[in-house]
Amino acid sequence: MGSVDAVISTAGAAAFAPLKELTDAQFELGWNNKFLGQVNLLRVGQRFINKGGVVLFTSGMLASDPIPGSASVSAVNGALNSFVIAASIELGDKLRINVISPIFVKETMEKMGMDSSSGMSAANTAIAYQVALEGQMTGAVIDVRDYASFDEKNVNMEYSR
Amino acid sequence: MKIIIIGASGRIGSKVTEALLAKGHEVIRVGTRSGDIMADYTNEQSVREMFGQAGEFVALISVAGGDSQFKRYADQTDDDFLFGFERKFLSQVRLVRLGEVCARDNASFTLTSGFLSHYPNEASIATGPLNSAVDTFVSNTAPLLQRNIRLNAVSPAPIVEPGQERKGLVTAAQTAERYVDAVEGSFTGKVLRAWGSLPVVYD
Repeated sequence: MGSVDAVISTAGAAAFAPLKELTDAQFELGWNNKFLGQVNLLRVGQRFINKGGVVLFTSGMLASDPIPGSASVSAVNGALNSFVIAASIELGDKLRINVISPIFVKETMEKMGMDSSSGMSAANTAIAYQVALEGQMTGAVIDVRDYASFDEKNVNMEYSR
Repeated sequence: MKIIIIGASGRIGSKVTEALLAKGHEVIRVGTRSGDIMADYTNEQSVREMFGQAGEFVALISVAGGDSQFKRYADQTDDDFLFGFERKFLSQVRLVRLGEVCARDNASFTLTSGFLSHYPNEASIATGPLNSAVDTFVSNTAPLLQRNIRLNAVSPAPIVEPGQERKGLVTAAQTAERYVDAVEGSFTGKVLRAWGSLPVVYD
């Protein structure tokens, strides 16, 4: 593949289950897949990324806004956020690293037959990635809700800073 | 319901007035040079007199405070900051402070901040921080108000003409929808953004 300027990861699986039913295997899924899977993109991939390049991870709002059943997912998301903050100070100006924290994507909710009024469209979610890619920031945890559109006012109502 | 609109003749204020009248509300237009009541919203005595004339109300909307000094950071003086502070922040805070006793139970106050707090430019440093101050005043003060009185802010961006909506900027009529939401809703302590999906980078 040669060298690249950016690696963007929107991948990662983790298990939802009530706390008292969560198994070791379910915790391990989130840790091995969503957390280590993305972390290893950086660890293994950094020598293929040009100086001044950028790596973007995906965590999720459940880190800070949990729901019942999200304990494992919340923990993994929080770990990713903390990893990015810590990794950035060692990477310095060689490589930027940021993490995007999305909310439920509207189209996914619709596909699942859920009420999507609290979701955010994939297109607007993508703006957060664009900002993290093209900006100068590193070690940033970027909340996609900052990029909700005028029409996505339910998102704005639940979140503004 | 009886609604006082401060700055009713402005670009946004006139659309807010239009929208509320269309919904059958009674609107008292307040302006410096025109309106049902003429008052200088930056002058405490004038504001007291305005409340005396207006009588009990169910909602107050301030679409004032749009003026502040836009200069390069290096050229800003104390006076420039004070100008914005008095107009954008203190005058709107005073409307809530003095207006609370004239407000009915369950009344609402809706103030105006602005998107420069989130999307600064080199000339906005005596404006954006004051928008944040209004936002913070609203979220911190809302829980302190008595008699179920609500307090919210709308954060507008530069408005665009119909058909020109792009880059997350919206028209005056769309911006007015947020003020109507704040009046007719039951929430408090919120900042309603009249913009969105702005791919501008800020760190």
